Amino acid sequence: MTLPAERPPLTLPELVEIMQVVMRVGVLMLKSGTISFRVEQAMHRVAVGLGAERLDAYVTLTGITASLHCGDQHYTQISRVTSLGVDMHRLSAVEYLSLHLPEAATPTQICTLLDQIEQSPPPYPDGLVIAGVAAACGAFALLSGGQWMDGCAACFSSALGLRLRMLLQHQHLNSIAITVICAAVATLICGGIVKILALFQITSPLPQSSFLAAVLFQVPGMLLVTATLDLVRLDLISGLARVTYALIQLFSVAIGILIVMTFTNLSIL
Amino acid sequence: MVVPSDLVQQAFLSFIGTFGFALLYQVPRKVLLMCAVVGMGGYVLRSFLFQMGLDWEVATFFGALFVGLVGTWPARHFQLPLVLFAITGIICMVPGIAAYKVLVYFNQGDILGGLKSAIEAGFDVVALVCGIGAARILTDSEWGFERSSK
Repeated sequence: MTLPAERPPLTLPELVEIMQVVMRVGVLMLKSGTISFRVEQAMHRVAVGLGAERLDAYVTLTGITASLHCGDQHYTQISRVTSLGVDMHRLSAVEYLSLHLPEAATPTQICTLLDQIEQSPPPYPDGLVIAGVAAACGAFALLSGGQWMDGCAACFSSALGLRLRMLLQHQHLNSIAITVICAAVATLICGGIVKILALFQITSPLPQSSFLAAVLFQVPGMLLVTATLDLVRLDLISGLARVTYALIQLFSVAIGILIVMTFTNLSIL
Repeated sequence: MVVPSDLVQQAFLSFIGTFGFALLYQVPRKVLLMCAVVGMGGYVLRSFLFQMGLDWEVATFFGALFVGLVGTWPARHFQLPLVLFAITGIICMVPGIAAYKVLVYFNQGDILGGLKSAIEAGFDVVALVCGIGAARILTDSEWGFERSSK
């Protein structure tokens, strides 16, 4: 990669300023849940677009290390990344920005654009998301061999579980704790619904499908795919970190289910 | 033995399933329906191949391959991240229920049942992963060939 002829070499303060923007792009993309390779790509595009000669970024699940080079100047920075989530809306916006940088962009200009992306409201209201996920969990109960009452039970309990999850996430509780609590609550509600339906002589031949579908809103499907893609790219550290995180989430859900089973004599299988 | 009525029902349910998770993952509005269609296509293809007599894992591989390959077209057209379609597309095929069953079986002292579930879930995940990985290697030269220059 050669330096565009018309631009003079950057000074160290300029390099530092560019690095702040590049890091922000990287952290935003990583937090939105994309794979390490894409984060590196976007950071590289922004760095070169702002006039740097070369960027070496090392992206893991929980932090980014990057060195920015220009002429005989270089600058290295580390950023920690916490509160990982999935937000395709933000991810698409940041990636689009990195692909379509404005002509002769300045770091301040891109910072403003990133501010706009960060402050843009989520595309769907919470109520709609809950309704969609509840319907999805109901559908999964039916797909795994349940009857209509299993679908209803999974639908209601996952809706309440997800609502609780959103509330707790708003309080910034530890994510493992959130997962355990929400799995327990969803299982408990599902058990309650099954018992109430039984009072009206409505029993399902396969009630376990409702219990297991009720907690599916916490399935780490996203991490599974990104872990795969990281591993295929041989980003081993990042890939293994994602596999570990996915397993922790699965275990947390199972622990939530087991707590409820122990105290309520529910039989799930 | 192919049962068309089963496939139609599964198509409907997997459409709803993918759509719900696409909402959860905040997929942009313009591709929301397309995501759900891609997910439905993958799931129905898997069910169809399974009914045709293929092994479950092989059918899962082709389902995931379908999602990975078909998802690249709308992603390129709308200039969206490729990973967007892959993630929402396979969500219906993730063996979440089998995975949860593992610990529940173990807790009940049913070691064999737990191991069986774990191996089933593991094979399913590996099949999904191979499908998505293969699709990416086939469609993206940055994945297929290792070059040091970016």
